[in-house]
Order: sequence, then structure tokens, then C-alpha cells
Amino acid sequence: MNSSAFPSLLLSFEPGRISIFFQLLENGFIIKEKVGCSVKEFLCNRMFIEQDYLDKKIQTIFLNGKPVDDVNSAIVKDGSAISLSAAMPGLAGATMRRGGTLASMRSGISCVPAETGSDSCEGKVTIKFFNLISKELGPEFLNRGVIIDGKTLAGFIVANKKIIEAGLFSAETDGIKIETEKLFDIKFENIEEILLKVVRN
Amino acid sequence: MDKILRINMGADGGPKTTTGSLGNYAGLGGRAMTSAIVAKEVPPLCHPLSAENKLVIAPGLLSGSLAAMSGRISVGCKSPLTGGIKEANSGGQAAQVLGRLGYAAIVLEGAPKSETIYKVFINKDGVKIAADNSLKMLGNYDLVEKMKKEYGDKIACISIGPAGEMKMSAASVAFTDMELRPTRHAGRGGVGAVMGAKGVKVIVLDDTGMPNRSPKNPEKFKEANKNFVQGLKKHPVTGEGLPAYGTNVLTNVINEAGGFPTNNFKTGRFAGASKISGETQAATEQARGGVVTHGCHKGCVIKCSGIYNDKDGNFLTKQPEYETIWAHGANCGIDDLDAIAMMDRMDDDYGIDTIEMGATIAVAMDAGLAKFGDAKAAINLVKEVGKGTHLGRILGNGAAVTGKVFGVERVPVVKGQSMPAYDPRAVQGMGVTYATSTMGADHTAGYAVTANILGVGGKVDALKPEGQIDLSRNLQIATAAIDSTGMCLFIAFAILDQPDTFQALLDLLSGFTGANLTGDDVVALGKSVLKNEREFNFEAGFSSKHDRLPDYFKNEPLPPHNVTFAVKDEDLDKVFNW
Repeated sequence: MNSSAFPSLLLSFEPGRISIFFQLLENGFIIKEKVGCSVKEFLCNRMFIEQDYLDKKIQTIFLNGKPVDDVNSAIVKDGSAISLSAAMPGLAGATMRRGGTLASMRSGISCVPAETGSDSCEGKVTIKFFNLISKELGPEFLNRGVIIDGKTLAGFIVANKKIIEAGLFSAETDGIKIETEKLFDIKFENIEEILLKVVRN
Repeated sequence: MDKILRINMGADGGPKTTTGSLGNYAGLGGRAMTSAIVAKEVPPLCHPLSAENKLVIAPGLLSGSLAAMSGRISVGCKSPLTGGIKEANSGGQAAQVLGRLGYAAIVLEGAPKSETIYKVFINKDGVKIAADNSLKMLGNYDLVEKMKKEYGDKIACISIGPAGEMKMSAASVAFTDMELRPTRHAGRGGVGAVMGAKGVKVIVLDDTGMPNRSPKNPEKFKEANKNFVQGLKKHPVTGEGLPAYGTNVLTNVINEAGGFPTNNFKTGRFAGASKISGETQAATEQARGGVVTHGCHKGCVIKCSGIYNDKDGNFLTKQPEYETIWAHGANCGIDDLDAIAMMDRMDDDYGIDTIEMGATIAVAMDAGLAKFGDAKAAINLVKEVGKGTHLGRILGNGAAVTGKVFGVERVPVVKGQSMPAYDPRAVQGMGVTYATSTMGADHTAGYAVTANILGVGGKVDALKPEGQIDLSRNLQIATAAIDSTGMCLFIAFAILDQPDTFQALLDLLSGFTGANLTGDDVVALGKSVLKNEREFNFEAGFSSKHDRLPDYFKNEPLPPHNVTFAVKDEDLDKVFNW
């Protein structure tokens, strides 16, 4: 991912409070990478999620809102949205599980494997981390940096000002250190997309 | 648990109690007990609020023992909401306490000859019934506080709020939790109205001096209980997801799937989902000093509940469940967690089903009584119910009645009961269960394990569309069986994936009862429960024509996937072919 193409915000944050940023991952962040590959290829080789973790922990996957049963045949394209969740409770939760015995109960909305492949090219993919996936992969992805819609970031900072103030040690925009209180004056809503990095202090 | 307590509320000279042996009901617990008594003793054509109806309260087979997760309690009757048989179950402390007191069921019969209301006190020395009109129209919270002052804090309460006293069809029966708060409810079907019709405001249980129930084979029971708990703790749903986020962990996932009914089932996705998700709820609870991981009864190892504090850090309500978050939230276009939690508190206090109430408000919004998304207006509508105004009386009788009164065509009910938080167009297998369940639209009716897991009753081809019919049948059978054990249905997840945990459950039941139970026995138990219930409903006037979803689910495509409910009527009629 060519992250230097985006305005950036680096926050050094108290580790115990980093979970506040998980709601941004729940809402969705953007990855710019080569697409035209399988969901498995995208998750393991573009996002560097370990295959063992994918197999054992990520039991529910949606591609464009459709439950995925086969991560090898579902194809990621430019503009796709992928959501990742751990195993879910309830009958409906169980039906969403990939390749589960109850998959037929939601066959009307299941992800159908693409009949033809898609060209490999650079594309924009929205990723959502839910529940335990957010808790377990969130810190690493925040540390690497995630691209967030500016309006979403602006709303998040306003809504969580008190917690951010309490956990923030230092801040940088585009590599330049700023006073922490100035963070709340920045008009993020005027920025289309921004690379957010949150590192543990 | 070798006796049944019967209280005839209409006896000459006032309520009269009799305690008898189990007789033909020996070996039954929970839903198997309630449905057997209702099917045998209640005239199917009687008025649900009449003296002929009976309210049966039954702990599960293992309640009162040290078996983990065995604290569910069933409440059964002829339902004022559906007109058919009803079993609604709940967590809380009452099942364990009632089990230790030795009662396999309490049956409220007859009808009082006056407007007097009664309290019932049960301890090791017996049963006392007293008229107490000072309790009239008290909310469940004030009522329990009053009972604490009178009987101490070692009690468990089974009670109704004003909605039950007003005999509203959406009224619940409340059960106190470990903190002696009335937060757990047998919510569905108007069981609280039947308790109100019997003139019983509260049943207070005190098991002081009573030991835990002993298993027939203590060694086998102990070993099986250990294995069962280990199985629950190692499973990702019961050991990680539910404890961390509660049932509301489903909001984001069902919303993403496009099956999260929004604005009275108009779309399957809610823009404000992340504001009311389990993840956000857990973070909010933590930040306010609430509790994220908490059991609803002693012996619970999953701990999917929690405590929700208000902005000032004071207790507001228990952690609202997924169904409540959906009903008062997305289904009414409301994305304010505090407002939803407030309505949960009010529902618990008035004693009303959160699913029915939320679905009803959404129908009222469609009728123009309030705007979708207007949390303040929704709270005011719930207040109308608590006050028993004319409007409140209509709303308190559920979505079907409200839809009729205000001329709304799109009313999401089956057999008069509101659908819960999964749109049947997106999850069609759920629609099969909504349509065919003996209970009316009920998400828990087909919840548990499949024949594929039990290894009995035939294999299901999950890839064929007609597999949905077979799955729903097997799920309904297994659910009826689990509801009869008194086990929390959430054990189903571990059983679904881990055959050794299912075996541990069988060993637990075998070790306790001394019988050698197999998967076949579980299936036979489930089938017998459903048979009783189906026969009652048939005699009450139900036919296969009632096993249908409202037409608009077949005709109106649900965004974002634009799907309709496509299961054929003739296939629905095959669900109970076994």
C-alpha cells in the first residue's frame, strides 16, 4: 500500500485506551492494494493475516454484505467491502458461519463464486473488523496505519474527545509534531481520506 | 422435585393450595412439563384470561442441582397473544430456588372472585398466600424492594408489573437475578396477563435450609459437569464472543448480512448499527463502571449478560440483549443506546416483552403516531403503556392489535406474535421456523442442534433448498428438548460444534437421573413436546393455513439484497412430517 500518498495522522496513545479506536475499524477502513484475487489471497497476502488465524478464528466473512462460504472462490474487486467476524451466537449467527451446516438457511443471500476471474489491478477495498477480530487484529493494523474517511474521523474525534485527551501522549500530522490540544482544531471533515496510525506509547 | 403445587385462586373462601405427587408428569421438566399440563388440563377453546386457563411455572430437569447452566425456568399457558399454547422461558434465580424447594411445577388455576391481588410465599415450611392490595400497580422494581423489606434478601421473586395486572397481551412474568433485580423475563406471548388474571402479583421463594438436589450417580454427574463446563469454555462463542459482548455481538453481523430489520422491516440494514452494536455497548458499559461479563443466575459459566449504567454511573438496567437493542433500536430507527436502555428498564418495570413492545412501536410509527428515529416519542409511547391510558392499552396488546386499530397493513407477526430481530427474507431458514413454530414467530423455537450433529433422525443435505425444511424441523425438535432440561439454549453452540460436549450433556442428564440417555431419547423428548403443542393448537382452531408469513414478505423485496421469502407453502406443510 502506497501510504505516502495520503495526509497522515500519527497518534502515540496509552495502550490501555487504544480500544476506543476499534469503532473506526468496525465502521470500515480502506485498503489500496492489488485486487482481482480470492478473498483468501487478499486477506493472507495483501493484508498479511496468518492463514491459521483465518482458518480458526475468522469464522464469518462477508463480501459486499454476502456471507462467504469458500474463501478460495470468492473474488475481491475494486470497490469491494470485506467484513470479518469471529463465530457468532444464535441460529442466525450460526447460519452466517462459512461453510457451516446451517448455510442453506441463508442461501438467498450467500456469496456466489464468480464465474469469471477479474483482472489484477490496484483497487480500493473497504475492510470492517467486528468483535473479537477487532480486539485481536486491531492494535496491529492501527500500528501499521489504516486509511479512514475524513468525515468519519472528524465525527469520531468529537464524540470521543474526553477519552482521546486522557490517552493521548503525542500527535503528528504529515510527520510534523503538533500540540496535542491542537488535534481537536483540525478540520478532518475537509480531508477526503487520511492515513491514521495509532502507536502504543 | 417430586411434587407439584397447585393454587386454586377461585376456591370458596379464598385461594386454596394443594401439593400433590408428579403422577403422569414424572420425569418432565421445563417446557415438557408446562406443555404437558396445558395440553392435558386446559380446554383449547377457553378464553386465555378465563378461570379455565392455567399458568404453569416449571424449572428444568436439572434446576436446583450443581449442573452448570441449568437455571432456566419455563412459564406455560394458553396465550392471550396467539390464542395457542405458549411456553416462554427465562433466566434468573427462581429455577434453582424452586428446584431446591422440591417443586417440579407451580400451577395457578381458577380465577379470583374479586379484584383483590395476592402474594404467595414459599419456603421449606410450606406455602402462605395473603391478600395485599398495597401492591396494586407497583412496577416490578418497587415491588421487589418491598418484598426484600418484608422477607429479607435471600429470596427470589416471580412477579408481574402493571402490564400484567392490566392483562395486556404483551405482558411478561419477571424473575429476579443474582442481585435481586427483576431483570429477567419470560417475555413472549402474554404470560404475564394470565398471571394477572389469576390475581397473583408476586411469588416469593426462599430456599433457606434446603440443600442442592443430589444426582443419582454423583461421580458420573461430577465428571460430566466438569467436561461440560470445559466444552463451553473452550468454544469461541460460549467461551469468548458471548462473555465479551453479550448477545448484542450480533448487531454488526446481522446488519452486514442485510438481515437486520429496520424501520418496521422495510430494509435489512440500519445506518446507525455501529452506534448500538455489542462492541459499542461493551465499551460504553466499561467506561461507565458497569459490568460487561455477568451471569443471570448462579451456575452460569457463559455470562452473556452485564450491567448498563447511565451517564452518571448509576445502575439503569441489565445489559440489553440483542433482541431488545434491535426492537427498540433499528426497528424504530433509533440509534441512541441510552434511550434503548431506558426503554429496556421501563419494559422490565412495567413487565412487558421488549420484542413485542419494540415491534409495536415500529407499527405505531408506520401509523404516524411518531417518526422513525424519534427516541423521545418512543419512550413516551412506552410510558403510555405503563400508565394504562387508552393508547397504552392498545399498544400493550401488541403489534397485531395496534396494526388493526390504526389500519397498518405491514405488521410483522405470525399467529399474532411479533417477529424478532432477523428478517426472514434474508435468513429464509429462520422464516420457516417463524411460520411453523407452535409459539408464533419465535427465534428461539428452532435454535439448537441438527440431526447431523445428533447423528440420529436422518442426515440433512445442507446444500439443497429443501434442506431448510429439514433443518427447521430438527432444530425445533432439539430446542424443545433443551427447553425441557432447564439448560440455557446458548449451550447449543458448543454442542453444535463439539460432539464431546454434547456427550457431556447426555452424561450430565444420565448421571443426575440415573437413566442412560442417548441422542435418540433427546429427539423423542423434543418430538413429544411438539406433539402436545401441535395437538393443543389444532384443537384451539389452528391449521396449516396459520403456518404462514404475512404476504408482504413474499412480495416486497428486502434491500440491500432485494430478496423475498421464497419457501413454498407446500414445503412449510412438510416441517412436521416425521
